[in-house]
Amino acid sequence: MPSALQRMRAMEASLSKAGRAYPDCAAMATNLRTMAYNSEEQLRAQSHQVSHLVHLAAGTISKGLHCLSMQLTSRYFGLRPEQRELPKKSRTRRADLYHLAIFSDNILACSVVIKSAVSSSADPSKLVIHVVTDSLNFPAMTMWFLMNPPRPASVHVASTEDFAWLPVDFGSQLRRSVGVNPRFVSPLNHLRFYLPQIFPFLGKVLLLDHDVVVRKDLRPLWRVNLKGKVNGAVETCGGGSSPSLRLESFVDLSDPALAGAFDPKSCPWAFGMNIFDLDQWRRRGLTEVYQKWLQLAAERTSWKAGTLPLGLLTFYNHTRPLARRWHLLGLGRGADGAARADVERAAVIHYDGSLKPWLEVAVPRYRGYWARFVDYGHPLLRQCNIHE
Amino acid sequence: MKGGMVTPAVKRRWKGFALAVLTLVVLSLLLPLVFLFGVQSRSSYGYLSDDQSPPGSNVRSVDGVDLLDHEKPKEGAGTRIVDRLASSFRPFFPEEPGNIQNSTNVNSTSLLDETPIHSEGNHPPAVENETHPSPSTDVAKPSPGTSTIKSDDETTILCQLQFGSYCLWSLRNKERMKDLIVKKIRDQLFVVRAYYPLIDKIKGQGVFSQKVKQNIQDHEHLLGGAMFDAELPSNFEERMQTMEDVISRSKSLQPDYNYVEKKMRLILDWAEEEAKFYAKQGAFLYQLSVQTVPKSLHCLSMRLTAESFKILPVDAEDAHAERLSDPDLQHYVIFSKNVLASSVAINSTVTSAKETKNLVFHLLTDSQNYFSMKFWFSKYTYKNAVIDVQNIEEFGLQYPHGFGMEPHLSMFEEFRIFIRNNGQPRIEHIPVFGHVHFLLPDLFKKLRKLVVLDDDIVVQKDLSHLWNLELKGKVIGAVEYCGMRLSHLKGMHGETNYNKDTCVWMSGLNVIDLDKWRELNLTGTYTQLLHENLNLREKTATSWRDAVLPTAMLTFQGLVHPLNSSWVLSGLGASYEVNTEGVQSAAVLHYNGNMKPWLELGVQNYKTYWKRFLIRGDPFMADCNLMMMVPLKKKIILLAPGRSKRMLPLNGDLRPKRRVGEVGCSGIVDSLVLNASIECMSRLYQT
Repeated sequence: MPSALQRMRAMEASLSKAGRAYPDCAAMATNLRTMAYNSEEQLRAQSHQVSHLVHLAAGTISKGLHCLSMQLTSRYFGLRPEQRELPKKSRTRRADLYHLAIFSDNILACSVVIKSAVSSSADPSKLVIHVVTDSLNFPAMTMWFLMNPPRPASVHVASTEDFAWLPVDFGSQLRRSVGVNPRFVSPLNHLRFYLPQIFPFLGKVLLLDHDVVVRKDLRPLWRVNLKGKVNGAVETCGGGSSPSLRLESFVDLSDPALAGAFDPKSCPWAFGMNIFDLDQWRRRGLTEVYQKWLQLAAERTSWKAGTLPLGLLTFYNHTRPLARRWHLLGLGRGADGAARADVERAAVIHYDGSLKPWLEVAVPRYRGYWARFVDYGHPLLRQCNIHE
Repeated sequence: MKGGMVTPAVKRRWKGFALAVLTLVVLSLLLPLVFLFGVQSRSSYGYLSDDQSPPGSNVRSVDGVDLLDHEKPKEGAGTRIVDRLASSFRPFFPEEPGNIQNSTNVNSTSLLDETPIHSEGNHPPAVENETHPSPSTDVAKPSPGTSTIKSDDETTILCQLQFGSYCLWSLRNKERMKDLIVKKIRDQLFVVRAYYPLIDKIKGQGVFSQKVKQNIQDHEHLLGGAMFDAELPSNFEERMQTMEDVISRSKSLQPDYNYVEKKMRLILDWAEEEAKFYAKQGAFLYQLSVQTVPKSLHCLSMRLTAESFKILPVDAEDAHAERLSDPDLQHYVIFSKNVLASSVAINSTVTSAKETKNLVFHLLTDSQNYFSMKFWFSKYTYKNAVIDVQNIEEFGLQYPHGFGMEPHLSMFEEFRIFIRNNGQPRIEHIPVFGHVHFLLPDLFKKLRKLVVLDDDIVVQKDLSHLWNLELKGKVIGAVEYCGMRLSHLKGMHGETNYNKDTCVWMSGLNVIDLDKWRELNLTGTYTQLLHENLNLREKTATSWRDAVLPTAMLTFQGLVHPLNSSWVLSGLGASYEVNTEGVQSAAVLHYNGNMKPWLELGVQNYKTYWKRFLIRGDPFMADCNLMMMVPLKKKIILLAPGRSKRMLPLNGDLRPKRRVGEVGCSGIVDSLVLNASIECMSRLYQT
């Protein structure tokens, strides 16, 4: 039996020969169409499978991160209960300090955000970082910061379990509203709409996503005059990589419940780095506004409630644009997601998109900005085979 | 050209050669690094290098270069074929002449940037003049010809060389679509797009040009994201007729076929490139899915670990201390890092056993999984069997030859092996002992006999006969695999004395005579052989793991008592085509291969045998969504956003710019809806 190789070789030969010898253009065109038809079919079948595999891949976690979480969890429980407390708990309520909030279940990502924020800060002793995580990851997250305190800043880890005020069915309600997409379902993602409840003693808080790196001192953000608005954020319309983004790109405004109340052409903004005035937020009852839109999404099949669409609706008319250099997006989208010069001058760089810096698929060009804050020599990281 | 519609004649032809096309398409996808080498007297062996197993992954493949280098001096260059065939992805030509000339100008471009083996000018021998069955003659026959089937098999094997079991999965999950009309509409679009740039240039045809453009847009709209005919809007017939008229008129205006052809080729190139891209991406994602931890399992391990500290289980160990080292009982050893897998292995063993009070299971794990396993096996009882969980790292085991490696890194190894016997290529997954197995006599000093189980098995019959088995002076009872013999491994070890006809054997189910092992000091032999083996190569973590296959085989050379093959049916994690009658009669099912039953990508049919032995009603499993180990969804609703944007633009630039901003190839942590990315692919294959 001739091998596949030989067959292929023969095929190649005949193809090229036929290509030369074929004088009949009409027949050639037919052949071309046939080929196109085949490739298209192949392409569709594959893209179909790829989307399924993407779905599967989203349901997995890298062996390194799994190991890290497991190791930290067992170490945490190896401590006596009194050893499990992070230091300087009293500082978490002091309104005169700079409070950062991160919602995350990824220890490595959190550690980078915090390490970068502390090292870029001109006065890190006044930084208080609040990490909110779920009950599954709480022990591991706490253990990490017990082992690696970001001195002189202080860090506090809270678990969703601690929030007694949270509706009991919060998780299941979310699942109804947003469908089965686990990304959107994560209660951690949606807890950002409860910031005033999480921080009842604070007037201002800076929300950072776990896929950012801080490169400049952020204290001036607390002095930005929000002019009565609730949310200080950078806008994402015009210029840059996505010139055509408008509110209507995120929310289906043809929905009768939304029509008329929103300008479809208004400029959207980004989550990732937002300074929130919690007093104004409470005054305007925006958490209730969020719940209203979430409820609406549950009743609709036409649009799904991601945090950004809900945020755009909730903070509509309550957002004050910040200068672009505060927050640069696009580092998780591809090699041309952001210009190097922009990265250098940005205060916060954001790996939005799917090419997260902690994944194998990270964009090499931008990974260094993130990786420099990971201590790959850390014994636990080495033990778990997490390397650069 | 007889109009844009597909004529019935063409249709028939298409139908027929769809088979051949399938073959070819698969072929062209996997061609890039077909490497066949080491043709010895009757068969050739290769080790697959595309599998990037990180330490801890249980499927290993050995770098092919190694083997090649070792073999080179021994075999005459003339008898070796080092074929590296890369192909420019050129689809199939229907009216190809039957006679074929030698290839002279094959443009070899590899699908991947890196190919593991360089042929170093050793070009493949020219193909003899041969008559290739003209596919057009097959066309009328709807049933697949035997040659097609054979070549299908072969292509699948070759595909596996590069992409592993992804190929099997991919073929298996290909859907039959009802999409004839969708295809016709696409065909019309293809033609009209080729004409449009020309029409646009003709002076005085501005109005018609606008009309063509409008029609293209209408057609794109008509198609939308439709993949099936049923998804098309109802007015498609009318639209198709309009388009047909437009195409006819375009043809009458534009006689320059060369130009049209050029355009068509460009469009075609684009589609092909895109298809290649998806193939790579699919393979990448597949690898990702089999090599990472399912979030549900991660969740379970974390929950169990936390619980193990909260609820202190009653320490039952003392009660069993005597039984653990009682040589008169039946002792089973399982090395595992997977709580569910080991639970299934034990549960199935006790369920199938006639008598369980004399069964003792020694479950050996690493420190990472110790607490969750300890908790789990104190929570559940498995009939009257005793289960003892131990952390292997606590034994303070030293590897004199370990090069700083931890023993738990090598609990089990599996080798993917490419075998070509008399022209019939095959991929086999050979599970073997890890380094840690060679410490068994030290770990169980008081015991005389053991049965060692892998954790990816299901026991279906009473195993007590194994204990009555007379090993006849041999040390280990194992199922042999004689498709591969020690001689085929010679690239992997030096000039050590060996009987080249010795078959390899597999782990999974092994009986071990510990007394004999100690008597022959096999652990010492192993250590020595390992040293010799490692002196042959660069000492890295990988080579240390790779060495286990030849070293284990040589250590037990002549000391293997072959178990009847009816004891174990293996390959349930490597194939979709395991003999189902064998499944009924086998004492043990072994899921060796990538498609483990606890992964989403496990083979659905075979998962059922495994799932039967899962613990039911466990609250932690329920919390972690493990109860919903649901079958693979046949139809995926989730489509990448902007799918329709992949449609071609109207102007001269026929290649759509891949909007990198919305693409990516992994969504492990945060993201779900993605298309593709160039970076991620190149990174993938650089490693």
